Amino acid sequence: MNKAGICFLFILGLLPSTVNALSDTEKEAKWLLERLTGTRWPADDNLVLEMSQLITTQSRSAAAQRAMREPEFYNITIKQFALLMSTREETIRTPFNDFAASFIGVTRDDIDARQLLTGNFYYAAAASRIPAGVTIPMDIGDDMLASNKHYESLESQRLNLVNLLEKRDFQLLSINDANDTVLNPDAAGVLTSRAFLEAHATAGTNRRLVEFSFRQFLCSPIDSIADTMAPDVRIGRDIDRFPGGDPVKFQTTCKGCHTVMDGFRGAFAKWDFLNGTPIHSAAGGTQGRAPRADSRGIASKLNQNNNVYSGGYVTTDDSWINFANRGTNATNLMWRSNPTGNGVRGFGEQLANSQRFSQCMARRTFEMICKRTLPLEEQMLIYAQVGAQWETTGYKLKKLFEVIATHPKCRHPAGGSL
Amino acid sequence: MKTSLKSTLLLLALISLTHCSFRKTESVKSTSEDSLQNKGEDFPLALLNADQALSTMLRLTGQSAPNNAVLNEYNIRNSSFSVRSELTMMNAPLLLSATSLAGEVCNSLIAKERGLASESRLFFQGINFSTGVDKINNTIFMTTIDRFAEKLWGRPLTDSESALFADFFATFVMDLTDAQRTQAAQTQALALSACSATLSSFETLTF
Repeated sequence: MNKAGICFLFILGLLPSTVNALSDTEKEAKWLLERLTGTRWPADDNLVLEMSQLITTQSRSAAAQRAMREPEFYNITIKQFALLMSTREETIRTPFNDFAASFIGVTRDDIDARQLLTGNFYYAAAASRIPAGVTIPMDIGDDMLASNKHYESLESQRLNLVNLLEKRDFQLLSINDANDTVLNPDAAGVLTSRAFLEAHATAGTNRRLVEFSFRQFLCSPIDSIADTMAPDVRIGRDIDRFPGGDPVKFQTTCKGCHTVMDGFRGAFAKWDFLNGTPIHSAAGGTQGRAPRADSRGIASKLNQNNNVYSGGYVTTDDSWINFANRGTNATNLMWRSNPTGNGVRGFGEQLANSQRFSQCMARRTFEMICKRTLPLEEQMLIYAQVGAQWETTGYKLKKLFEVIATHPKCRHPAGGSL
Repeated sequence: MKTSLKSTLLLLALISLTHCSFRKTESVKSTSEDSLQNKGEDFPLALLNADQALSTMLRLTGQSAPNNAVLNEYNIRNSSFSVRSELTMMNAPLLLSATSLAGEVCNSLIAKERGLASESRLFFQGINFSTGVDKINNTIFMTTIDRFAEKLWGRPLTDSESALFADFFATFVMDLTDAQRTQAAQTQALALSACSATLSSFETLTF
């Protein structure tokens, strides 16, 4: 390209664009299609015209449903929707992983989205669906559990993810250096996915798993649910009750987050992430997969630094207690199940059955499709409304995207009343 | 001279960025760390991220899958794209990367279309890729650009865009020697410029 060509590229951006050739309905159809698929489409594409007709003859919902049949809805929109939640960095610049694969699969297969936090399944590419001449690392132990090679390879070759993925019942864990596998004894959807555990169970004290579960699935950063008046009986021995020699600081600040986090932390008591692999003490791993746990199967990191405050709680099992169920937490999170339980699956059920979960998914979907946040005064009302509606449709993610994309608060300005 | 050219390009990119950001919507403000802090009843345009940009470029040019050259370029350039959707995240490196990526997508498009009969092509009807630019007149060139505008932007060219493209075509041809004007490679370069310009424009990179 010569000099004139290069300069020309940049000048082009300066020009105003006021000429419009599409009708309002076509504009709305195009907007709907593009926002749902995360991809711009040719203005004269037959699909734009088809959706435009659907808007006129049936409804916007029918048009949205048509748009969601396109692979880009899954391969881009749902993938990025999930990637944002899958790691600590909360960015779409994250390699495709088992967490995002589950979201794509659950959306495609119209599975109750609560199973994303409770289900005993995972999604991987079906060998029979991989195009000829394409090589994908397919070993469950080496390429899916001990590394992310399988999923990264699917993405880097830009394969059609939604067509390739198949649901596989029963999550697995690698138990030795040869990556032999056993059934996951406490499977809980994406909460026990490799990506989520790598992000939050690596080192640390497993509090991060609780913190980010609330953050991603209830849209509640831990400081927003801090409660200094909640019982502190579950706060571990590694938390200083006299930070800097000041007990007031613990009582007025530290305690607030730890009452909630440490109350739930027991759910992950038997989990760890070592040598690139999720570890559960009950899985009986050896060699590089041997759990660092005590005789009860409690990961060492749960009770580490036990001399900081020897009167603190000692984790002895995977039980948890919901201490985020008082005052404003009860009002905001709206729990609907027993406030005690065991393991990650029970924890996942607690989160998934709260009203806050459906509201949070509504909010995430709104931000994904509409590319803005609602004013605070509208958030409560609209997310509660859409969340409740979503629950009545069986927590189907496609339905949620359809409702949000056609919502008057999200709709393209060309879309008036029909 | 090279440095001067670079500076000019950067300046143009920045001017373009500033201008575009506030021309298309006044609703996007970078006043918060929240990537989606856009208050009120506005319906903002959103900036495409790398994944979306590649998908868009392929979809708009009617290509179902990227070839290796496109994938390689994507792997090199994708980190320059924004991971957030506010228009204020558009910057010079992003524009340069979008242009590079568009260039490879356009190379692939040209390779595909040059093997087709002229009337079967989506974009380059009337362009003979085996002859030089001396066989291309302003009408043929502008017809091609019109096709890009209709398909990519969903609208005809504005008067100012038409004038700019016509001026570009004249300058492109004028800058060549007589011998170069008869070379088929220059026809490909012209087609590549036209395609890349439209495919990496502000309007293509937002939705």
